[in-house]
Amino acid sequence: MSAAAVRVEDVSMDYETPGGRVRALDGISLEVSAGESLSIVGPSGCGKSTLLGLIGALDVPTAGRVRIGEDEVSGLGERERAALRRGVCGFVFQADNLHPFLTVVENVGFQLALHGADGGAERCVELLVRLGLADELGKLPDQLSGGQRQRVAVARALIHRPAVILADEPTGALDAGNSERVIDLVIAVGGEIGATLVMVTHDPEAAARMDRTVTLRDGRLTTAGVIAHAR
Amino acid sequence: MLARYAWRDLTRNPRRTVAAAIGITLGVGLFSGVLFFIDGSGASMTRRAIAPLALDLQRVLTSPLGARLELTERLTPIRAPGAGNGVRVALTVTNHGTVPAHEVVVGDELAPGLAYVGGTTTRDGRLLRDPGAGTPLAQGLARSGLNLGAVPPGRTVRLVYVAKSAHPVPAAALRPRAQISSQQSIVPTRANVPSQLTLGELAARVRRIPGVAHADGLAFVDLPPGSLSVGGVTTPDTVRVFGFDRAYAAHYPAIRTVAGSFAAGRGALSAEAARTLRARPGSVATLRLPGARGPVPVPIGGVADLSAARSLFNSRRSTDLESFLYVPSSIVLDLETFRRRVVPAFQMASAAHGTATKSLPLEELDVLVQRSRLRSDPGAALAQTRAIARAVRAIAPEQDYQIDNISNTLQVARDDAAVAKRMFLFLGIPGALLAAFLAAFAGGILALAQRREQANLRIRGADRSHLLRMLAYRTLALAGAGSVVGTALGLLSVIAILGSTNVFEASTAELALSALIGVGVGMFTTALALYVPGRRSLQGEIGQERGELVSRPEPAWRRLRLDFVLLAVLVAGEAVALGTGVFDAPPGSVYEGRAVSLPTALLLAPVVAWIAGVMLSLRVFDALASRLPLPAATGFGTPVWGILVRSLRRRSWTLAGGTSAVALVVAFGMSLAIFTATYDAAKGADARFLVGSDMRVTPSVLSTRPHPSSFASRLRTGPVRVVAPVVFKPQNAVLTSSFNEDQVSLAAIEPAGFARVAPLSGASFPGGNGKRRLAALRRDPRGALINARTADELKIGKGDRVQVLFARGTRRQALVALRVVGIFTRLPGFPQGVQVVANLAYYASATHSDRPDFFLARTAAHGPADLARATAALRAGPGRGDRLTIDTTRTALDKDQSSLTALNVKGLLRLDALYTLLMAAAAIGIFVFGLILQRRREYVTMRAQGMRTGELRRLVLGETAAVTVFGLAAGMLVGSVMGYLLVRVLRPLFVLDPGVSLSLLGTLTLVALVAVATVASALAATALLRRLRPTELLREA
Repeated sequence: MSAAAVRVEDVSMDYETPGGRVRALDGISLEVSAGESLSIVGPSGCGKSTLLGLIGALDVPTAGRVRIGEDEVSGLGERERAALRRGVCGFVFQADNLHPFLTVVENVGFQLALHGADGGAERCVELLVRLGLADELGKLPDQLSGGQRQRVAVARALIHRPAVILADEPTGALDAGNSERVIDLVIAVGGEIGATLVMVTHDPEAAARMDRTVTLRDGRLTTAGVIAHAR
Repeated sequence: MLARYAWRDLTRNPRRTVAAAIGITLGVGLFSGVLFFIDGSGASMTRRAIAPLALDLQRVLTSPLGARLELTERLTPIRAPGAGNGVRVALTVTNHGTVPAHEVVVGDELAPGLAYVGGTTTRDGRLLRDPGAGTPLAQGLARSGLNLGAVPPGRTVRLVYVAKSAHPVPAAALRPRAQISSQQSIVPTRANVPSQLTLGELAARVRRIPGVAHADGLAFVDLPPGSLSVGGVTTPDTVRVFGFDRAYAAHYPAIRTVAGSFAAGRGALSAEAARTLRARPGSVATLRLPGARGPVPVPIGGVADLSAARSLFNSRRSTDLESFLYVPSSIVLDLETFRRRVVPAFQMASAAHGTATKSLPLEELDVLVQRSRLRSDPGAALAQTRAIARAVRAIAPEQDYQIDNISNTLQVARDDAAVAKRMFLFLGIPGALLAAFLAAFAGGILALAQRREQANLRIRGADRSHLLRMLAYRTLALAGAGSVVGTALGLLSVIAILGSTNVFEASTAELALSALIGVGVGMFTTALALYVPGRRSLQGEIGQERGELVSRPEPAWRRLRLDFVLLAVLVAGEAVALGTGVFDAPPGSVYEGRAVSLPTALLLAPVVAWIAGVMLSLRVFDALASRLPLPAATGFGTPVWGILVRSLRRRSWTLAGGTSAVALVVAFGMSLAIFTATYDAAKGADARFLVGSDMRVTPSVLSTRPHPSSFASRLRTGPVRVVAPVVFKPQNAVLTSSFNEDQVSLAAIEPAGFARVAPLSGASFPGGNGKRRLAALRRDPRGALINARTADELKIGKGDRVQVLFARGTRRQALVALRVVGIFTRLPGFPQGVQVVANLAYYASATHSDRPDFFLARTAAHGPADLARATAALRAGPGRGDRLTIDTTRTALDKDQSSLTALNVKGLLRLDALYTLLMAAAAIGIFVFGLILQRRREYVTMRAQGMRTGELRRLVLGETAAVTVFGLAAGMLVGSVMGYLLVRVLRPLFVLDPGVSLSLLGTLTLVALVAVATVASALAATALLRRLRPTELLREA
């Protein structure tokens, strides 16, 4: 295992709500090595997605530091964080969040365009074909099944070869067959590009396929919950 | 509980609530504002309409010479010879006067069912011969009466005849029908009428009528030139002798005493007469009256400026009651002196058998009503004045006729008010439609945004009826609050425009009714507009947000091609209207008793063009957007441009909602801007046409200085650039053709100067332009321009020779021969009408008089400030120490007493423009925030993908700009068509045919506002996006 790709140091996160200030994360520290896969599990509302959002530079912690590689994400400005997301991170969510007015190829191509690699249509097609979407390239998301849409979302997350793949319940809305296929794809393609994978999931089977699992409860990591899986 | 949930939903999502309510508020504000505007401006219509009226009511005596002829008729039922029923008719004529009555004619017509018994008519017992088959008292087809010849004073003539009937004669048939007239009293008087009241008796009785403020006697008669002299000096002009008391002068403030006073037993001279006669208070004037034994001495007690006294000089002819026929040489006697000295002289003159006095004294009672007691609504005020007029007429109804100026004026104002209300409502319709549209637009966006919440509620057990009830509560709350606030806003904005005094001149009941209608209509339309999309959304697939792209059905209007159908209807309607001359109605005029005649149905045309035009523009927008070229064949393009183009291409129909909102508002605003600019330009042109140029300078009758044509050069001072002298007086000439002659109004002008000062674009010269005609007049000093109607009546053509009597009725009158060099239909500067235009230089040489009546002046610029500067320069320069009356286009606009003033169109336009600007901003704001509501997950996904805030801002701005730029362009195009149609429909509001004008400032304001609203909304929206929590939004399934 190489040097840490993701390092979370004593991170806390508070939210202002109408009912007062709420602490979503409380002193979380963890490390994920480059190429390692980590699953984060825990009950609903324990702060899993919040932690993923902090790692993916979607948000800034109230306290503590988040590093991706050598960059301290929590100290970056909006512009730099956006650059980090478009270059280093790849997101897969429970909802596919595909853009409804873009075709399958364009949805994937847009991520490449953001990455500054315009004209990568062939690369998109190649990946999509590999994900079994060869016949769906010119279709709009509305014309696809749920599993197909989630595969397009995976392709979009991987097309720019991110160093870190962040998946938030990627199979939450899929049936068992599609869930397995999507996890297979994420692990396989992520492995090929040497990406670090951090996945939030409720699915024990999906969690078990990661290198490691950490458990969150009430915004804190439970020491008993750290499980190293044999691969 | 459901109501509480709906309430919390509204209060905890303030942006959404405001977005939904703001359109309703503004739309209802405009609609109710229009209603309040109608109340407020209608309330001041009575005041504005009657303000310029010189005389409220006139009772003009039909026999002013006090003929004391009396006719009595007695009908006695008898058994007719040879038939069952009959009537014996006895007519008695008595001359109670002191002079003989000449040409006394008695006529009597039989009641239906009665037949004259031939050979029964007697005069003073002597049998009269029947003329053919009829009675001597109703001869021939004209039913002419019997001419008794002269009836000496104190004499009685008795006429008796018998009529019969086959059936019993009903009592009603036995009412007197005989009439009598004479040379002195040519208007027939009925039999058995009470003896004639004197002016004093009549005035005393009229004053007692409730609602009458003053009733004053007035008498006058015109005397030929040479009738008035002081010392050895005689006036060369026609003289008018007035008889009225000091109270009359007090009640009509245009009669201004400038020296001495009005006193019983003494006369007052007009300023002109005093100057000509070199008379002053204390002088003794001499009047030569026809029929008088010798000159009548009148000690002079005062000098008066009568030049603005319209009650004295307005024409008494029913065809031109507002013509100001001023007679400069006038003398005023008190009424008693007039009756004692003037009337008997004329009685003597008329009593001389065979003589016909050209001008007879006229006696009338001038009545002023209590204007403060009149209701503010012209219709209600009309009922009041008509009641007063009826009461006045009921006193001695047979001895005179009545001119009810105030009721005539109010009738026009009432009709104008009705037209105004219809027109205002049509101008308010877009407000109501926009309110409904903005409510529906916001409602649609709200419904889409609430789908997820509704899905959550369903998951928690809420069924469809719960959701519908919540929707109803929410709709009621939004529509209710929006309507109430909108109505309050409408009232406040109308107060700001009209002033609280004007608005609250309307009755509380009227205002309350308008408020109720505003709230009611607002609630109904907006509630419907909000509820329907919400309900439709509930029927859709819960949780499905992608529907906006592919599953959105084509709207019904597009499938049915409603835009093309409406446009076809519009074109057909306009073609029919053009063909039938609907747009050629004459302008409204209170003076001419003519209300504004608007083709009300065609007021719908701009509304139809509005809706159809915007629909068509959406079709075009869709077609253009779907053909936008993709940035690159093999790649995506730059992130922002690539997304923007694809979004526009594939979601054009979603964006069309925003386009239509902007286009509708901008089109309405544009049409208002065009109409306002046209209105301003047309009113300015109307004013210039009426004044004759930018300014009209009239030397006061009180001025002691001469004002020859050369005075024009002195008037060229400051901003005054060109000045042209004009001689003009109503009916100051006689025009004779080879067929006929007529009294006409003649203007003598300097053709070159007149061409430079007068707005000849508004003039009409059949077959040639005005400048060429005036050049012809300049080349031929003995040339004349003739009014087309006069030329037609006198059979005069271009090139003909005519005879014209210049300065008719004055010592300087001169008969000249002129050649007609042109025909015109109207000429600027002569609102009273002018029939002949001659060359001033020739006029001056022919009459040996160089005294222009006024000077027309053109200024360097035409704005109000320029005119004010020019007026000040004239007052400080040639006007210093001289009395000059200066009228400008500005004062002409202020004095405009046509129906247009009462309509206060300008105020309504300001109200509409205010709301248009606000609604344009609101529409863009609703669109942008709706876009954010609908697409927040999309934008947040883009952020997660690495799109920077600046790029997102450009994207939102790009989409908003595409929508607003197209909406703006479409709106301006559609608005221009609407403006054109509006101007055409409202053509009768203007004197001159208004061209369509475009206000650059108004248009730029609209464009700038839309641009600012677009940028501000986009910036605010992206700021909002930054505050969203991506992790929460993105994980939602």
